[in-house]
Amino acid sequence: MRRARAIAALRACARPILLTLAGLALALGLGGAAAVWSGLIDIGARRGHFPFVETILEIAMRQSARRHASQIAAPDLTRPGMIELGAAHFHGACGLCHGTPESGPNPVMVGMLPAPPDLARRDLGWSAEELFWIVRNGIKYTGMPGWPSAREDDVWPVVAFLRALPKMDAARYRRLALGELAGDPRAPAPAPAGDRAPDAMDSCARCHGETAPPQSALTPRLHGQSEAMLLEALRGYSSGARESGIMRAAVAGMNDADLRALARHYARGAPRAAHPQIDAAAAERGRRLAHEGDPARRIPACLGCHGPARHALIPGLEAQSAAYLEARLANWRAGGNDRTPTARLMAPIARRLDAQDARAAAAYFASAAPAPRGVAP
Amino acid sequence: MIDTPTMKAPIIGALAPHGPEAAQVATLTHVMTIGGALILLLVCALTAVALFGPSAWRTALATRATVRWGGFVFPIVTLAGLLGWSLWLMRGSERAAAAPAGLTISVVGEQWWWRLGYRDAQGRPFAEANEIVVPVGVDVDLLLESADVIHSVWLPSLGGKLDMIPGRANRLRLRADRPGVYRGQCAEYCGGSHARMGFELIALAPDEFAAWRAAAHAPRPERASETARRGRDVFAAAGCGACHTVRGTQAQGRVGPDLSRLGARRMLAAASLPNAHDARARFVQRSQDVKPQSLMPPFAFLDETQLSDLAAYLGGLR
Repeated sequence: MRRARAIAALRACARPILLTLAGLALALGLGGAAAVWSGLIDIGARRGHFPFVETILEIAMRQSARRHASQIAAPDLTRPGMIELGAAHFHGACGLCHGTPESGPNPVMVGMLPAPPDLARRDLGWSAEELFWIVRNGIKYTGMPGWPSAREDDVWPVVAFLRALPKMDAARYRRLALGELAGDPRAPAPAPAGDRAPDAMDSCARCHGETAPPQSALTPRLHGQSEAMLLEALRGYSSGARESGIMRAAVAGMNDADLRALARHYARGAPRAAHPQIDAAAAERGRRLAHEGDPARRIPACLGCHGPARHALIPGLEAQSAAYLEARLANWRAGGNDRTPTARLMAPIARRLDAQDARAAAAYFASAAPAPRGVAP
Repeated sequence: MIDTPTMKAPIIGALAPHGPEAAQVATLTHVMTIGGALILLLVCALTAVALFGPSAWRTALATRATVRWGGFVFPIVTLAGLLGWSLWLMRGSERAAAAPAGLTISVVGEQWWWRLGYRDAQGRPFAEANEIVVPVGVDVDLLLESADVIHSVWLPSLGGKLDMIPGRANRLRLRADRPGVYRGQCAEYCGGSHARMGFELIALAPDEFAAWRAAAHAPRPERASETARRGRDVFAAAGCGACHTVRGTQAQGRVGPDLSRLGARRMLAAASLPNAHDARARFVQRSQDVKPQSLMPPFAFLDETQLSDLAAYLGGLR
């Protein structure tokens, strides 16, 4: 009896409550639409956010990066060459907005909303995994772009560098980011993107070296490779078919004539000398892979394609850095970079190698003397 | 010698036997099918009598004796007879298989092609692929093995169908009674390009077979045409020799099919394409379109001239 009366009472007041709520929702929606439509909202960057909006956005960003990074595991960031490669990329692609230990924040970019943080002077407390996620994905509404390639492994050198950046002085930064150009007072300002060939050559030299070998072991040695192969690679980076966020940024703004000039320049250079042999056992195993392959595991001999009779689009591997070769093979083994015509040949073979094979082949080629491309016997 | 006009169309079909094994299978099939059809007709007729026949016939059908003879004795005798006969047939073929074969060929199934191992008259081994050449009228043993998953050799017109099981060697005895081209197929699903894992067996007159076998180790004549010479350089530069062997050259790869006499084969890519100039070029350039997932990578970076030269070189390998 009491129950029935309660239900009746609820029925009587449910209707006005629902109507009120619906009215409120409608008013809010219309009010919002009117606010947007009227143009009264000031979207100017100079004006800034209301402090509470800024706090909310900041919390949302922190929480989002933390949550998304929880599934990521950082590789060893102390491997040789990581910080150098990250520094050189930062100098060309990130320093323009974030400033460098040498230049400080760019006064124009400070006018962005939010201002790009001065990473050199402030440790923002991001973990390596969070930095990876941010560099890879970018951040909405901040102007921070996502990584310009599907490839992920070349994000980690940038993370390694960013972790070291807050404690870095200007001299060390200059050494890392400019490589052999560090002593040159006309070293490029932090904006190589958009530069034309002669300047671009300087940008390339920061990583790939001109008089000296590349300062990062993860950067390939280009001098003395075939012009056709170099041009094909540069065009691939330019179109995005060949995956690398670092190289995509490096060739941004170059036209085909620039790429041809660069390919010609490096093809004319003298090949670097081989590295000293470090791991004799691995190199011996690699020598067998290089000369004989492993037919039982369907692995053809590396030199079957990469030997002195090689096609103009196939690189020579001798004297290349072992870390670079291993990283390149690892990228293929992880399933990446299999769209260019030559990668469609190499990727399936690389995927038949295990980590040990890759290390062995890399060790062998790093310590082998450069073999110029000759005419087929 | 393989391009004789009588050999243009490959022979395929279990009802067109061209060897003793296939003849047995065909006889068994015919007897079973015709006998089964006759019995079915008899049962239909008896059913019709039981439903619509004169009452005297219906009464006769309804006796215990009909059930006893027609329902018990007839099936037992018929089935037992068929079993005995088929066992006798099979026993016959097993006894034949116990006798030494005139020729043994190693056949290894790989995803998705056939690796063949022969020995010449002096006992020297040589490799072929995807085209099994045998002499007519000789008992041939195919020694079946697998390099990866289970495959099955099926040659309908010669009667053979036997699985290739990893870690085990099966022996398949065949004899082709007439010269011809016999189409064969992998008959056990073995992955993506299973349907493209065919082969041809070519039965040659004994003297032709002897000449074919003797030519395996014959010295390779120097390429005559300029195109083929350029093609040979493309073959070397693109690294084909890392996976393929061409006897008498630097190419000694053992990952893929032996190409020493590719130009003489009727078909390409395990009987997927006719062996013509354009088909060779197309397969090298777009192998994954022809045989998806196979180990043969597409050489998409070769230009049209290089592909054409290469196809000419491959066509000249005999």
